[in-house]
Amino acid sequence: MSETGTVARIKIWQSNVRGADWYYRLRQRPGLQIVFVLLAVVLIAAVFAPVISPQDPAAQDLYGKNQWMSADHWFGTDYLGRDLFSRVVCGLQTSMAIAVTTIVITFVIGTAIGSYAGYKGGWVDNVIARVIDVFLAFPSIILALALVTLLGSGILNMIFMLSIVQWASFARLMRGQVLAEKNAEYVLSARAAGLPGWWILLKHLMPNCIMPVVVLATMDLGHTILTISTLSFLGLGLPPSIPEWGSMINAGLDSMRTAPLNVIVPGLAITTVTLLFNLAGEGVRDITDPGTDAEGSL
Amino acid sequence: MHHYLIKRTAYLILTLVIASMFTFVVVNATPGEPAEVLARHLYIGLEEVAPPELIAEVSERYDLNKPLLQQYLEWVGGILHGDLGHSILFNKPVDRLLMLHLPPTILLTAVAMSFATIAGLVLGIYSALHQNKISDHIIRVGTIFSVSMPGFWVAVMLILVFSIWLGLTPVSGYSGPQYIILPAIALGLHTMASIIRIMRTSMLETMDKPFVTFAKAKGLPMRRVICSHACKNAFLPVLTVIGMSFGALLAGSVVIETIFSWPGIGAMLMKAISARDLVLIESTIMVIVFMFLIVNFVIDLLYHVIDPRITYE
Repeated sequence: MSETGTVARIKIWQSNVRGADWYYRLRQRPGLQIVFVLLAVVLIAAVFAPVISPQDPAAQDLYGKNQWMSADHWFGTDYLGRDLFSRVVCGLQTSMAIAVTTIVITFVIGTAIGSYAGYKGGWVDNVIARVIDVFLAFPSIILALALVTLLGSGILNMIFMLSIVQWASFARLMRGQVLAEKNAEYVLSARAAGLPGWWILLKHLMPNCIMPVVVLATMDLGHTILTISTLSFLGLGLPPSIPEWGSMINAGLDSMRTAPLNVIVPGLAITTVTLLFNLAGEGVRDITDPGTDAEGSL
Repeated sequence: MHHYLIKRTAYLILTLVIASMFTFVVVNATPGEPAEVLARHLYIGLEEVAPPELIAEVSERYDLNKPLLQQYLEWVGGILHGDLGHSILFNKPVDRLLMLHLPPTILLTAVAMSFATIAGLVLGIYSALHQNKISDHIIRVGTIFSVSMPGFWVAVMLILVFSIWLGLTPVSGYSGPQYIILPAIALGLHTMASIIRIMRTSMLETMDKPFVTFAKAKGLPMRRVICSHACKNAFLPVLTVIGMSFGALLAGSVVIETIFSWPGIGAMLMKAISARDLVLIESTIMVIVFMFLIVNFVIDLLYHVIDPRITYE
């Protein structure tokens, strides 16, 4: 018993050291710090979007439509004279709300199912692995399209649909992590000490398996934002009354010749936010997993 | 090897069966509503409200009121006999529609994939060989930007710049080789970026291996070392990416085809979804999933051909 205690303590000690380690590596990378600061700015902007947007995103001004950038309208106006900057900020709120909720849900569900399957093994694992395979057999947009037919449009439906599309990749990654770790000595000794399975899973395996899943979650936030905008570009998933970047681009297609800002601005917004999430995900991977080739990243 | 092949095929079939059930349930789970949308689409207008008698008649005529299990078994039974069902929207058998629309999609996907592979390999190798030089940095920034841009926006931007501002390429349509350039680039850009990244990493790893050092020490010209020793060995991870990207390309084609009015199954699927033509939706999705699974199956087997050291369990 005391031996297990020691092993567990050593493990905790190691994980603390590892924690200190990635704090140290983060401090070594000013580029990554900037990415995190920018992400924080984006998140705050998303939360306070109604306060930040200088004008009512729905206020039309048919005399001042399709304007170029000016002091009044920083990003110009759209085909109905609505302020593009305000609409982009509100679109940020829509995208972030959906993406963050989706990722939290898929993270919890995927990690739970994946770690359970991996730890349990046997036929339970086999069945769950098959189910994961089926979900991954659908290219994500195709599955989303099938689900749109079923669910119709709306923010909650969108979150539900994206969660169904994405949980499998989390579950697969977590299952693999647990499978790789579950015969490690610290797990075996915890089992020999008679600790209950859920305890071992939560307290011993989880801290050692979770980091790659966190990286996946960060990158998937960007990916989810792309999927949301793609679906609403196709006119699916969200009702037209909600400002969203994809549907803004779609609406701007007709006046693209005379007012290119209608399609350029929302696209740049999508790209910027996705880029930040991708850079942050890669950064987190590099600082938490020194094994991978980290050269050259931020 | 034989054992592996049998097991892999069994898994493939099992996955297809479960996927077909899943697709069917997902697409069909709204009773009544498809008949309503369909009735509006076929007979009256999208804005109007369909009278209940009409809805009842439509669901009677197109078997929408039969029990789900019966509908499913009839659909799967039909597929096994080579009959993919009848599209209500186009009033044609689904297999005829697929025959008509599959070739353009395959053409577009193939061109996009070739573009992504060739450009990706060249840029990836170049980037690895010029590690940490300016050109390497430019390529790396370019790749991370291109994975962050949504495909449909790339398509719109390409149209804006090359078709509208410069007038170099046609905006949309399908009647000559110049029509495929923009859709293929828009579709293949993400895949190209992934191939660049994986090829660069793999190439850097390979260049450090003893056999490359040996080839250099032997006095082989650098070209030979890179082309016939390093590249061949660095290629394997790229194959995985190609297999995985195939699904992404098929899925991306739905969006890209819609933007460029490309007459493929993607654009057809979008029309089917807006009209709730359930049979057409299900069958098209199953065809896409089937192609995706087969490609990955073949690639799995190709590993062994390319690298005989890999054995299957």
